[in-house]
Amino acid sequence: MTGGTALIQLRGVGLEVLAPAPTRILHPLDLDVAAGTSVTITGPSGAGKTTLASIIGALQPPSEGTYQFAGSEMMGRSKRDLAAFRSQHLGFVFQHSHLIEERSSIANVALGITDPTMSRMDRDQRCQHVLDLVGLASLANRRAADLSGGERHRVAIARALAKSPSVLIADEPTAALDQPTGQAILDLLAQVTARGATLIVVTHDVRAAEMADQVVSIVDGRRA
Amino acid sequence: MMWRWSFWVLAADAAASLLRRPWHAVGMMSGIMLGVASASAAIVIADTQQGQIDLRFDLQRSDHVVVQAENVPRDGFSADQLRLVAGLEPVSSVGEFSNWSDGEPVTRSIASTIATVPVIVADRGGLEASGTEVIHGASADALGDPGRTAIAWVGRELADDLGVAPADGQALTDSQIVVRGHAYSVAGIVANDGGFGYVENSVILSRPVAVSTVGGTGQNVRVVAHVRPGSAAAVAGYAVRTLDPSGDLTLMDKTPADGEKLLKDVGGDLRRVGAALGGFVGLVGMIAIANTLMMSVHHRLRELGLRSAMGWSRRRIGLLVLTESGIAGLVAGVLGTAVGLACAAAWCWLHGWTLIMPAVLPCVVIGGGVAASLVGGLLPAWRAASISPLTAMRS
Ligand SMILES: Nc1ncnc2c1ncn2[C@@H]1O[C@H](COP(=O)(O)OP(=O)(O)O)[C@@H](O)[C@H]1O
Ligand SMILES: [Mg+2]
Repeated sequence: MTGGTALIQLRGVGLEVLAPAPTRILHPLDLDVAAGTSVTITGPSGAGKTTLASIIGALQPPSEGTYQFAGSEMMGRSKRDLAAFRSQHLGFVFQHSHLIEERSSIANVALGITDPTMSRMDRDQRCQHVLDLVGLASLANRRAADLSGGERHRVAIARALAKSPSVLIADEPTAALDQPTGQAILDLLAQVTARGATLIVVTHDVRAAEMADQVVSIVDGRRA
Repeated sequence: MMWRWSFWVLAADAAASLLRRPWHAVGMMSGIMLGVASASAAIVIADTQQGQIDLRFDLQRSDHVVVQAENVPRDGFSADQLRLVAGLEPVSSVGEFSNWSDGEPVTRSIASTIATVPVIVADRGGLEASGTEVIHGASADALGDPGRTAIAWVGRELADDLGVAPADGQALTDSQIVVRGHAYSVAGIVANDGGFGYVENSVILSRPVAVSTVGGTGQNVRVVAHVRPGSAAAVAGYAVRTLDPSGDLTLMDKTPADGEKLLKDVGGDLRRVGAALGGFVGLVGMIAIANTLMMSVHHRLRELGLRSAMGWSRRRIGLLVLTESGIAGLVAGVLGTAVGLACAAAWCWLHGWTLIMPAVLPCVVIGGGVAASLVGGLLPAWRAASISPLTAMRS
């Protein structure tokens, strides 16, 4: 794979924080991810996996290096620009589903649609469609609080997919789940992104690594 | 268009957020509600109070007294008792001046002109006390003439409408009018430049004539006295006791307010006190809103962080929280106004006052409630907008 065709291209990207004390969290690293492929980031706890994923996800800027997304430079963009970028391109799935307990599955999924100009009908249709993708079509109107752990994660995935992101970033999506449920979630992620989205999964689940096109192993803030 | 649509999406989202924790929302709104309620109640009571003060002052200035009665016998008020009132030093004239009926069909026997006009029953003293003058025809003395059973006096405007007014410089010719099927000859034409302008468009009958022709007992049976300014209140009290010593007539002092507004400043001060009181409570409500919203934002760090991670701009997240406070303020404002007005109405009812409310009051106090909530929501909104998009990932 060459830099020219990569959707995501990191060059010498690292992170050093100054407060409370100067700490190097991520040593400069290079990474290329081609569009439509899947990457698994693995490594021990505290290695810097989440940090790398958050930089790729434009949740925080690196302190050094360059980051190009689809050929355009991400460095030096304003917070507002980065928010717009995330809104347009990125879907996130976190370790915890972060659902709004009092609202229905479908209302939670609707939160994932950030385009305020989408008509209500299109929005409802789209939400129903992604709920269907994650196999929860029948639970659209159930309150999030009444869903099981696995179902909650499915809703979170549907929420991330609602805007048809070009990149889906999942940070330890299975860590809070039992083994079979976790496996089902990983299968689901692989399946829903098989349609063209780029998938970046942070996990120490070895099976996830087997399924990925590329495995990035991080140890002590360095690419191993 | 696009902006509008996204505003409604935001508003729906904000409303849903409020409904998630209804008791929080109630707590949040209660302060603003109290503020709006006390402001509106205080202002209404201040205005009503001013009305009362005006009324009392006007009573001091009024130059005539009106007492109204029910259950008056067919032959009217007792002449002896009326004489007692007339004998009071400040009273220059007194007599019956009743609104017998609000609307009776009147037509001229020879023409098709029809009007529906009030019928007044008066005696000589009543006409004089009300400032009614006979400008053509027989003097008011004829009202007491028991021999003339089918005569009526007609107000100036009505006389013109019916065509019974004499031409300039001419004497009143003998003409007839028909009031509800009874024919009367027009004895005179009257005018009133005082406080009883409706006389000009009325038919005036003597009591015996009215009783035997129009019939009934009369709608507003009244005694009017013309008095020296300043004595109205005293004369009214005396008249009520004199004319109705046993209480059978249920006499009521109906002395009208003089138009002039006195004591505007006192009323204004009262209103200002009310507004200040409401403003102060509103301020406390604002702090309550700020406090509750701040807690709510804290409670929702992950949700708001998630929105931020998903690409909501800081401005939109801040607007979401501001919209929540705006909605809370609006609901609190409407409820508070309702509560405040209800309390004011109950208070006025207890005191037998007529409630006076400036028409713009609800808009002003509701607007004030919304404004206070929005100000209270600023800090929480700013706090929400500053939540890092990393929050969701790191929690
Ligand atoms: N903003 C920060 N300030 C200080 N330390 C941080 C910050 N972000 C992450 N860290 C530290 O960097 C290390 C790597 O964190 P993280 O990327 O979350 O690891 P992983 O996801 O692999 O468990 C951890 O020791 C964490 O405490
Ligand atoms: Mg992590």
